[in-house]
Amino acid sequence: MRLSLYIHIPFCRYKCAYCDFVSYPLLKEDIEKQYVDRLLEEIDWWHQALPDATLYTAYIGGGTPSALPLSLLEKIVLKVRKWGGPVEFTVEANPEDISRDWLSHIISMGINRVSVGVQTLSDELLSAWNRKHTAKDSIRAIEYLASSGINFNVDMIYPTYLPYGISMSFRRDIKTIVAMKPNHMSVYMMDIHEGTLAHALIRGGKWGPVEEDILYEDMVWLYNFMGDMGYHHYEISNFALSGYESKHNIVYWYQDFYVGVGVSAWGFVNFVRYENVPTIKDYLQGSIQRKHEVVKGKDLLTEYGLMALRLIGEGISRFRWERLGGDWSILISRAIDMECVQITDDRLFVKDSPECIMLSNSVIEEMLEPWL
Amino acid sequence: MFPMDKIRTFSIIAHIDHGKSTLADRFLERAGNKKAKNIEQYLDQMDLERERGITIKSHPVSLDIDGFRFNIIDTPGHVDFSYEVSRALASCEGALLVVDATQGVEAQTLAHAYKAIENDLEIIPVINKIDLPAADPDRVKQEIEDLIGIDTSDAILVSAKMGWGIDELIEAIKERIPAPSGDTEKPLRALIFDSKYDNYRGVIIYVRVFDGVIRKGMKIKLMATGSEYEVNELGIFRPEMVQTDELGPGEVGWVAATIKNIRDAQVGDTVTSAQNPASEPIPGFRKVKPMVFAGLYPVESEDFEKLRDALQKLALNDAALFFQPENSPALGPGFRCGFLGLLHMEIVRERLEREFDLELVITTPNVIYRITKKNGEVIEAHSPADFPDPAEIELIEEPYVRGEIIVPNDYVGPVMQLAHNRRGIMVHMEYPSENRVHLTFDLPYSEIILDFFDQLKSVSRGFASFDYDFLGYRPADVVKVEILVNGKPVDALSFVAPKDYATRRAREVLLRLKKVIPRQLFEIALQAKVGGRIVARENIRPLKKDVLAKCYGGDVSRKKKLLQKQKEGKKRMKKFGRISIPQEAFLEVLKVDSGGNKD
Repeated sequence: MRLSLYIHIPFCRYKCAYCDFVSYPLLKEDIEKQYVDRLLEEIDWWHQALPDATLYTAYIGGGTPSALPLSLLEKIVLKVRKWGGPVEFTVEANPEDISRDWLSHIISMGINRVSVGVQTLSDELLSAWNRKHTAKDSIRAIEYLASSGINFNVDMIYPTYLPYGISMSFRRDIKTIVAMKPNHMSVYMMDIHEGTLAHALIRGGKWGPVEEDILYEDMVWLYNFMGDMGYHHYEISNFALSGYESKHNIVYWYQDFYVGVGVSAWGFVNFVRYENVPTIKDYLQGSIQRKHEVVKGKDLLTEYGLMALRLIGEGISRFRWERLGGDWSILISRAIDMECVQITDDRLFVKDSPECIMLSNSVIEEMLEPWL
Repeated sequence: MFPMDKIRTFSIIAHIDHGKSTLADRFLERAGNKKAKNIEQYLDQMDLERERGITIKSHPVSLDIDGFRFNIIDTPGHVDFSYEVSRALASCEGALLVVDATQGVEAQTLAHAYKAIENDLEIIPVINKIDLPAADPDRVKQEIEDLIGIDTSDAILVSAKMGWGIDELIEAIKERIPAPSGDTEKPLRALIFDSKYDNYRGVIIYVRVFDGVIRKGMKIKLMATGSEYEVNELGIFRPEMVQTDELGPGEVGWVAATIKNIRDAQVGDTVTSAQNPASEPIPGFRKVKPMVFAGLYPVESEDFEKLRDALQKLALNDAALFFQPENSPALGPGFRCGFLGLLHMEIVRERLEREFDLELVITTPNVIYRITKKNGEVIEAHSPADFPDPAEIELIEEPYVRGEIIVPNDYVGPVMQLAHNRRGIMVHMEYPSENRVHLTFDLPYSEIILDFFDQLKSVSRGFASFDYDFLGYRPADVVKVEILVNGKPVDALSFVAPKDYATRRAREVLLRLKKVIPRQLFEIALQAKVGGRIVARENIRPLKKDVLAKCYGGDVSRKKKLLQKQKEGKKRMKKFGRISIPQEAFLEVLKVDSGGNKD
């Protein structure tokens, strides 16, 4: 069995305004140590439980994994490599943590991909978002990454809300970054979650929404620009030079199995989806999984449809749909009159046009309604 | 049989919150009914009544106080049920007119008091809540005299809450309300003032006996329908149903006679003896006639049969509910239903959804238009779809009401403006007291059925009270406005409007529809058409952005749950091809925000 591994590092130096992930300030080193020890135990536990599994990809996300002391990060990496593989081993990093030294260390440990959270190149926005680095830090980090030869992804955020008085630098930012040729880029529209600082600022009238027309035009521009620059728009928010699509992400989207370890991590193993406890206190005390469900039948089919339709130009495969018990003819009949859906003999997918991608949610909902 | 000279039968007329139920509680206590902490728990038996704080059915109770029998007949508290009110009052000899000493006379009190006067009842004015610091009994007395025209020199001052003045009131009831006059030897005549359906006993009729005696085992005849039944059980209300052997003149009680269909025992009909029938029924009988019509459609067409069953079940207990199948090109199979008024419609809709678990779309309610065609034929249009081609129409008439509004001085301007916008014609204006105005308008019924009362409350900050009575049909200069969605007429959104305002209202309706119909994947064109001409148009822009940025690990199960929830919410939308129209849209059509200014 082929398996992927996700490792969650819930520590951050600061909390970004829009962030709703579980994270804790880096306070005491012994807590981090204890946490990493528990992580290693959890990885061991899975390794013993699934002795025949081979590791395909691994991903250390957060939080801010790059804020961990290198000694702790190394413990994790060695544990993973002891299991074997993986062919793609990614770690998330903040720009201010990426130095030539840090890079050479993680490369020598066996990490072969870095995902750097640049988010924006506007210093005003970075400060409004409570991020403690500058655009300059980001440019320098990308230069180091590019010269090191490692695979890397740049994470960007499209601000759906802006603090009043701050203007958008989105197109300029994208151009600047693409000029440095990352082999992978993710661009997410900012989601506003309740309980975040961003949510409070919007409610308090400090941030206002970006007009839908502007957002729409920017996205159309992005999709076209990335295409022109040779990037493959392979998932709604993800672009890659050919061959550099994230193997780890594709595992999620193809319903392949993956183990998630750490606080609030999710996993999907042998059709069981589980979620780990959301607080570090519980996790350190040894209660790990909070809940789990067996995903089967119609749910497995619906989830497949939900994720597959996000894959641009790829979509739902007839073979897989029918193997999962779906009726192809019903699915096809839903697509009649839907301008944004394209059908071939063996696939059905959302058209690769900016207009359609922008509506993918409604299209997916409309297509999958009978199975919801 | 209770001795007639000791019977007092009366009704309590009061505006909401003026203290009717507290007063009834005091009577119950005096009758030694210790259990009855709160009479409402007996009286308001339907959940809906409790929730809405109004009485829909009559709730009679017979109480024995100081050797007297007090029959208290509660009356429905809403104008939709005004015929039931008039029959309940016809069963009484007297009425207590309860007015809040801090508030004064309200429009509903007025309407009921006028009905009591028409029925020749002895009215005892009762000024309640005199314990409150703001009580002003003298002003309230003056209002009663000016507005209702009855002498208030012997009005009883009470505080039902504190128990003050109750003895005095009981004495006044004994002395001033006449004992019933009736003859036990005459052929039976009993008035049906309400009825309900019981699964085991069939229809139970609520009666007031005028002449003769009704006994167990007796063969009775209902005079309006001529149908005959045998009395199985009968009794009085305590307020729970208690069996007795007979009911004589002046007595109020219930009769079960295995009557299968509630339509055979109509309110206002006279019960007589089959062997020895009376020659004349008690006057005032009128067949129930629905005043408002609307289409009821299941959201899922396959629920049509379920809806039919549910309507049949409801109709068992609701003689005023009419329904017949109709087919809408836009909505599929459903029923055109007739109701006494908007409240009645709302009650039926809520019961269908709650008790029968149906998802319904209800179309714009309308009044019955009487249309005379050029060839002399007269038709009743129950829906805009019934309107003939404009070229064939000679005359259209619509029902009018006389509306009574009582409002503090400060709000007279906005209230008059509102009535004017609704094509109201002022017929009378008077000042019952320094700060309050009594306005009388003649209004087309169609103008008030949906949101007139809400608007009235809003322009008067909740101070205005309103009631109305039907006047009859008057000529109407109205036209049918058709609404088209993406070029296709949606019959269920069509409405009838005064010709002068039609274009303006069409524009407003389109704007409101634009607000309630969510943006969809494609552009939606809304158009309004009058007599073959497009008079208004609005476009609903297609959705531009609906995209979820991230979908990793656990996101997919959250996303799936979210979509499932949305799908539940969408059930209340009706689909026209791919266009989803939410249920509210059908009611938006009748709301009027401008109206007054001609095009």
